[in-house]
Amino acid sequence: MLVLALSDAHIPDRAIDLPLKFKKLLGVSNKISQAILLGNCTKSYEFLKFVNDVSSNVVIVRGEYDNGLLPASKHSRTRESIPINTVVKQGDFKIGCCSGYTVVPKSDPLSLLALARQLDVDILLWGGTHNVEAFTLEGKFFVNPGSCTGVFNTDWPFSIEDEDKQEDTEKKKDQNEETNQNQETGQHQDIKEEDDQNKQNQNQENQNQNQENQKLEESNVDHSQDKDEHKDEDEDEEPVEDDLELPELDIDGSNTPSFCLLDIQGSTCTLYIYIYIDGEVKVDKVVYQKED
Amino acid sequence: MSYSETLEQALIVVRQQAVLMQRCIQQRKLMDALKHASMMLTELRKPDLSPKQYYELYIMIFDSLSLLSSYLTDNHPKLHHLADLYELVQYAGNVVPRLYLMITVGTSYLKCADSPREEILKDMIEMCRGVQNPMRGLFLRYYLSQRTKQLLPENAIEFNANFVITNFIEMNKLWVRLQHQGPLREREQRTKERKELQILIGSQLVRLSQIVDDNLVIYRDNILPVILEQVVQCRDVVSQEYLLDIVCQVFPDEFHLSTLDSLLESTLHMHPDVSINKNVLTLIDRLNGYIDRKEQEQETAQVDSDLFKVFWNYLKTLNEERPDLSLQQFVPLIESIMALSLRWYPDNLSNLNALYGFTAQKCKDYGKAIPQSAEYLFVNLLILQNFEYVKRSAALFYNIISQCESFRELLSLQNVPLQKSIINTILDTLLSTSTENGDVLVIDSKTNLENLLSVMEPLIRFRVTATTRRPSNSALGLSDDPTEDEEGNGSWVLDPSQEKLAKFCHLAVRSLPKESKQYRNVENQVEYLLLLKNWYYKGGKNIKYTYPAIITNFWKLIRKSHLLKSRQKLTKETENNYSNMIKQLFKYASRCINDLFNVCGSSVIDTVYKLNIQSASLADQLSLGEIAYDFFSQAFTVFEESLSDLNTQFQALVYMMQSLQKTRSLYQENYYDSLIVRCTLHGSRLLRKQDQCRAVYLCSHLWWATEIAVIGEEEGTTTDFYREGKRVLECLQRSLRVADSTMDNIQSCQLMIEILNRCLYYFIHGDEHDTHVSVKYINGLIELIKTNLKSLKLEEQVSEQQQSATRLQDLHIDDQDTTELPSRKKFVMGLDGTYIEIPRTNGTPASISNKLNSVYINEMIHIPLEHFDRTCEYIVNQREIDDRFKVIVV
Amino acid sequence: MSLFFKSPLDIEVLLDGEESRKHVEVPNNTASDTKALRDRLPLYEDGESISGIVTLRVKEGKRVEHLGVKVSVIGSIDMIRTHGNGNGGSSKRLTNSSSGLSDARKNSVEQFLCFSYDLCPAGELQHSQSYNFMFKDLAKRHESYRGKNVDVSYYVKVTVIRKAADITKLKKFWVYLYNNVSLPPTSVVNQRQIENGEENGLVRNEPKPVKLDIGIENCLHIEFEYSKSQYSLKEVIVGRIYFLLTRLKIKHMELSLIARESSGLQPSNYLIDSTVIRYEIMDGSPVKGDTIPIRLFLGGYELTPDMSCNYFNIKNYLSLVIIDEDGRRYFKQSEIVLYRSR
Repeated sequence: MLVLALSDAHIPDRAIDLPLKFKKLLGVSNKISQAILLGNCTKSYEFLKFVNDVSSNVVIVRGEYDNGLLPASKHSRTRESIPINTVVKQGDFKIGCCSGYTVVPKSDPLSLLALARQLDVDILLWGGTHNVEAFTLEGKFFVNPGSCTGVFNTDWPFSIEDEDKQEDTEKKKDQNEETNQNQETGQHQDIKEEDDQNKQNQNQENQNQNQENQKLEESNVDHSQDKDEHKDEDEDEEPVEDDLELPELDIDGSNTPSFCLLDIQGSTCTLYIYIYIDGEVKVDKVVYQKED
Repeated sequence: MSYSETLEQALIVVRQQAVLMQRCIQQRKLMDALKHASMMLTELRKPDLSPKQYYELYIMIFDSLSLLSSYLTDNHPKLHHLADLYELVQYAGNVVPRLYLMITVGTSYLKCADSPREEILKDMIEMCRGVQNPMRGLFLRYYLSQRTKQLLPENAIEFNANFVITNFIEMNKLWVRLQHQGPLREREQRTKERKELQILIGSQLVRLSQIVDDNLVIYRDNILPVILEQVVQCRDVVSQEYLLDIVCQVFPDEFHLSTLDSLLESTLHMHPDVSINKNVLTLIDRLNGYIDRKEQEQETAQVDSDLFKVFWNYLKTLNEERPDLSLQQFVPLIESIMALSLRWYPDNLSNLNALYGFTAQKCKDYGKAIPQSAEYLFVNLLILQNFEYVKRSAALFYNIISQCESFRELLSLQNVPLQKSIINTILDTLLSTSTENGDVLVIDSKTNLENLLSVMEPLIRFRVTATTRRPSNSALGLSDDPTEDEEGNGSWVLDPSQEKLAKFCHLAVRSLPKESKQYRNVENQVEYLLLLKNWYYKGGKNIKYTYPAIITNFWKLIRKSHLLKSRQKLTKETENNYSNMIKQLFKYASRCINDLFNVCGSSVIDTVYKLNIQSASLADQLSLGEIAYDFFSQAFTVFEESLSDLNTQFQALVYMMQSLQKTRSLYQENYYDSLIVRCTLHGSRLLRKQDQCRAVYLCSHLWWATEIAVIGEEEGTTTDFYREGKRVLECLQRSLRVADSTMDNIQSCQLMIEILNRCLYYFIHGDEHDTHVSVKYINGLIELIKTNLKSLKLEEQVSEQQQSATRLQDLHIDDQDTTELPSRKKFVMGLDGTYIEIPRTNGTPASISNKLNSVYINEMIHIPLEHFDRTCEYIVNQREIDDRFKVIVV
Repeated sequence: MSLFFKSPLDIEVLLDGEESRKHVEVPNNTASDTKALRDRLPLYEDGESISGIVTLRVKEGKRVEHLGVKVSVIGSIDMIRTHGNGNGGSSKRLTNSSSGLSDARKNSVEQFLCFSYDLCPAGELQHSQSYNFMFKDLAKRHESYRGKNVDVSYYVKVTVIRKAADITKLKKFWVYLYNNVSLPPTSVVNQRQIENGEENGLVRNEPKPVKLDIGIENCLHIEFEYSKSQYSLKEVIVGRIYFLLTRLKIKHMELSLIARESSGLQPSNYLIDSTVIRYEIMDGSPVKGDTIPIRLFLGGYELTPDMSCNYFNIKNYLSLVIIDEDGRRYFKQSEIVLYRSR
């Protein structure tokens, strides 16, 4: 049983379309039994048509820019309202769905945990952050598919620089540190498997800050190099070029486009995370087993 | 001699005579063989056969005569002299058999070295005139052509060409004549028959092309003029269309290039019913194919003359000389010439402009409204959809639109729905560059952007009405109510066209030429955006589709400017420029939001509200507290003045809380305080108790900032979080009072449990003297909840008996076995207080309701009961990692 | 008849060089029901001597008494009817038995040639005996002809004169008269015209092509053209039909050659036409401006050259026949002169 989780398309307000490779990937399989849209996905005719083609069973929850009501279906005049949250059942799992714009504080794991408890679900899908995440907490599985278009985000900019992908070992170390920290505070529990593959499942707390600083330094270094090069030619010119090329990602303040597929077989949920990086689609896999 | 009655008999006779003839040949009895041949040939005199039937006879006879022919050649002059035989067979009394025999003998003679070839050929072709019946004549001449194929004299290209042309001309005459045979009512049938026979005539031109080979001079001077003269003179539609087509197909490209004028000229003299456009299209296909072929051979196609000019002049001449041509005839012609120009002179768009201008004039001259049946013709021209080899790239359309004024003129002459559909197609193409197909669009000046926008204007202004909306959305199964919902929670009417315009906005801003100075880039982008904004403003209420995209782009420019400013070491001046730019951009965004509000009114209230909030967040992130405050205030104003719907209010306010909780720049001037107080106040004033309660306990978070990792905050390290535990507790207490005073017992209990969960949140988060949420308070709350749940349970037991009894009665089941009730429905409550029924089967969506359904009151009672159980379980679990939980009594 | 009265004497006439001489096959009119029956006769021409051996064979043991043996060469014109309008036309008949005619119905109207001399005086024949004979440089005025109503026949006749019935034997031969090759055909015509005193508008004196404009008003208008007006029997008629106007739906078109035998005593001529050639020259219906070629080889047909004498004449006509789709026939006849050349 495959469940597709898409969030924050923001088409056409912020994005033109999904990455073509995503569309191709999703377009070919007709195995997806349910598609869940986790907010800000209802303003594009083309997008909805695409999703409808991928799966005829579409569940939608309301994002901040979605209207209260769905466009009425062809057969019934009465319009369905788009709920703030909902629950679906797949296999042995109850899955809670929520855009997250009504979760305060935003994306706070404890708040999410409280919501999962309130909805009595095993898996909570949420969106609104434009950042793909997956973690387990208190035996529950939390998945945010990120934005499928990776578009502009008015939250505090979340950026992953190239340095981020640098070295696995370093990364792992960081993760371990964080994991330890989480365990100390008793808030997080580790995902049982695939831990090292799962790069997106952490809240990027510390290292992001470091990266930000690092990045700023580096751009300064770059800049000074530029200056050196041009020195001979234009000595009395303004020493500043104002030619920094900004990655679109930084301006958007989002992570790269991503979505998730949940393959649910009985009490096992295998999560596939699809990330669009540098024109390629990368897939990560996380397995979550329901505890009795 | 007479022929058989039926085709079957005829076939039998032919077969028999063929056998007899062969036997005679074997016995060297030539005279007898000829006699049998002649009897066999008599069957070819048979009238009233269809072309296919006649062909059947013909082909059988052809094979037999081939045998005869070899015999004749092999035994000349030992056993006979073919010159004598040539005379001898002419004694045959009937003309058809006589001529077949003559040709058989004559061509056998041609194979012999001593024969007077040219004389024989001339004589045979001359004598063929004796058969004037179209079908018999055509086959006879085809026979002549087949027999002489390998036997024409060598190095006599002119003689041979004349020979074949003569035959061709006569065949064509016969072919044309066939049309007029028989009664008038069988005209259709005749036309059909003629089409079946056309290959016979066409084959003559193929022969001709083989003879001419690569001799252009002879073709141009001697052959083509004769062919064309015949084609023109025959005044026959079928013939003219077919033959011109064949001419275009069988002769080499280079020939056509050298004789274009004559070819085109000839079409001017065609029968009025001839669809000239088809012929011209064939010709152009040929010429375009020429380039392909040359490219395959890795050569370049070289032509001395300007092909477009040739066709252009032709077009003009045709227009003058044939005012009778219909649009259906004329426009495809223009399209063909367009195809030519795009293939040969892809960069020369002035050609296209000329053609568009010409077409526009044609449209105007047409006077009345263009009939629906002709609309597609113009669509074809405008969206170039029929040209396989033309990549309909964004760049192409862009270039056309920016360089061909007449394109816009022609477009504007179409009716609005048609314009809309065309613009949609163009937009699709332009937008296709956004996907990663390597296509890059550069809009190199404001003027050109304006050109594009002026083309799109009909779409920008297009009003969605009940009738126009249906077809597009019904494809999806999502159709929209035609009446626009003026309520704040109005549903969204999907409009694919407006959607494209919104997308175009993103494309345009990213498609401008790059300047070396980033500031210039930003300036240019702003100019583009403002241009887009002004154009889209013309759309009236349509701006609700397009303005959010414009606002997004202002936001992006804001963040971009900020990053450029902060990541580069810049001169003071540039830095100031950026600072000013950022402020200016916020003003533009604000203007857009206000326009949206003013033009679209309450249908976009929620959006306007959230746009303000997000603008505020953005400003806050740039430490522009004042601007952030203004936007938040603006959001509050919208909330207070226009947001009236209950459900919309609640989620709107929660979103405000979420956003405010993440702000960091409002602490100056008490902005933050005033905003959160205002927020809490609104929360406590919400109409429904449950909403009040939830809003207020959520407001507690406004006094408890949590870390924002990306700006370096860290729980436990950062010391200056905005936190005021006292206020947190106040909020919780206040919400508890509201919960307590909620009359619905289920809702009341549920709210208390939710508050308990909030308490646990703070309990985990900090020390009790920070958060003011103490164990004592929590324990008290748990006690309260337990008491209330007990009462609630009582309610359940009473009601359950009652209800199960009534239900069983309804089902006519005796109540002896009450334990075996069907498995109970299960509900949970959402964070907005909605009742969510957990679906029991995989994949079914939950049914969600705002209201308590008293039929399932028992199940509803379980919502708080179970929620409380889960909460307690959580507390117990936490004891393993946090000792403090051990003092919480559950 | 001779079956019943068996002749006591056989007469055999053998012409000199008969075996090597050219022969002509002519249809035997008497047996019109058996088509294939043809006579094969030795051919002579004008002025040629005719000589041979006559052998008289007496039946074994018989003696034949006679009053003399005579050899004659005879040319005669024979007719069935002498009057065109006479139904009971045949009036006087010569005795059949003695007649040299191939067609018993025909009677000699003129013996234009008759030479004879005695081969031996009266006596008695006991053995077979042969006699040479010769008619030197024999002039032959007419060409042999075997027609419907008229024959021109030549034969050598040997007569054993007896008291009782004579015993005769005929030996037929055939005569061709060739036009002098050196003589241009026109002069032949002129000569003939002068002889006959006829005026024939259709035959032109000039040796140029014959062109006939013929037609039906507003329906058909053609030009019928052929190379000349007189042809030797071995020649080819070459010509064309040019369609100036055609509203008929033509099925086909034929060219025929008609020989017209006109016999009897003027003015009550007896006319018989026979179509000697039928030759389809066109299939289908042409349109205005079409030209249909004509080429007709004469050499392969048995044709009669034009002839003329007091009792009969033979004329040849070209006949163009157009048959339309409804089966109607339209025709035009035009006289041509045929002559025999070497």
